[in-house]
Amino acid sequence: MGEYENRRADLEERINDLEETLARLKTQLKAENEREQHDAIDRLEQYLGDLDNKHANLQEFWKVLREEIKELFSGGSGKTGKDA
Amino acid sequence: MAGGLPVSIVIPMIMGANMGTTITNTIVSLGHVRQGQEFRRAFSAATVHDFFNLFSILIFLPLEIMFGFLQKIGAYLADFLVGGDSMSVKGFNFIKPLVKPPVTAMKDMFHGVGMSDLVMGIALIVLGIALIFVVITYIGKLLKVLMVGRAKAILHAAVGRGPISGIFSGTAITVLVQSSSTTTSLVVPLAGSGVFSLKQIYPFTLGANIGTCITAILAATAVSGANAIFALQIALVHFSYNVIGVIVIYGLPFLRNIPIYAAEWLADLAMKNKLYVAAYIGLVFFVIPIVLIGVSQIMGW
Repeated sequence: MGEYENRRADLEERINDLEETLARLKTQLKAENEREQHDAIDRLEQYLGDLDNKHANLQEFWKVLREEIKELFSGGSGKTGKDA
Repeated sequence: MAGGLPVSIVIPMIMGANMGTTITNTIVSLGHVRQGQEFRRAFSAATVHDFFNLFSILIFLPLEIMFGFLQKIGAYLADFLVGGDSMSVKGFNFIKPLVKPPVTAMKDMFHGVGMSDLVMGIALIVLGIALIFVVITYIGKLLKVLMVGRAKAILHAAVGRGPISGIFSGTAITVLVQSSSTTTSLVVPLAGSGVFSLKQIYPFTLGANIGTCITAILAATAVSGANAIFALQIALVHFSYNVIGVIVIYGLPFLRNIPIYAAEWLADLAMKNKLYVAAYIGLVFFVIPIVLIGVSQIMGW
């Protein structure tokens, strides 16, 4: 086999290895996501309790809305929330 | 006529009811308002249902006004289910066989203690109303406990199975809890946590739309009298409307993602300023319906 064939075979082997690794990682990621989803579903009782807090939700939203309106008119950035 | 209202008037009301019920999960999503990205995900999961229903109205209301296709489908299905000769759904009523034995037993008991028909009638009415209150209170408490276990099992089974399974599990849970807003509100925190994507939540909310109609069909079977067929027709119109909506909007790839894009766009605006959220809720759920009612009154539609 010439040098070209050797290099080509080497590259093809590396591509196959990468594809196998990629497929394995994708399966792992899917399994990890699904495990998280099952865990979240197991906490459904907690979420069900939150459904009774609609009035509190509206009150909290009203507070945030007032804060943002104040910031808007005082020339602030208008951002609220821990990730914002 | 359906108990006084023409079926053609009731159909737009069904569409409006579909839309109105979605405010519940939007309010639930507001509970995440201080949580940044969590709010963005929860709010978009709530509003994807709104946008699907809005989009459905935009497509099917003009078609219904022009062709009355839902009215015809509902009439055909109602006729098919109860037969063309009889306008009564008595034979289809599954509530009566369940209720009749205890009522007969009570009548016998009251007659046994020497009550007149009038006193017995009043006693049965009072007892019936009291029983409704007690049952509703206990059913509410029991359903929550029972439903969570079942809903969990259905959701666990749907994980990793794709959109069709999502639609069916949304339908199944809604039939179980008999409330589409409870089902769609339950998935808002699931989406907010980031564990479920908007694309995974979307089919589930569509299933909730279908599930709520099955409850209405069951309720319609309990209606008796000359207008019973119209009650069933309306319930079947609602069912057909939601099923056709899912088939057309979710089934056609170029329409499928429009509610998702709209929900994400609105959620991005909501992250910039909560005034957009207030404007959206105010416009969609209050201002536009009131304006439309006013315009239709003035124009005599």
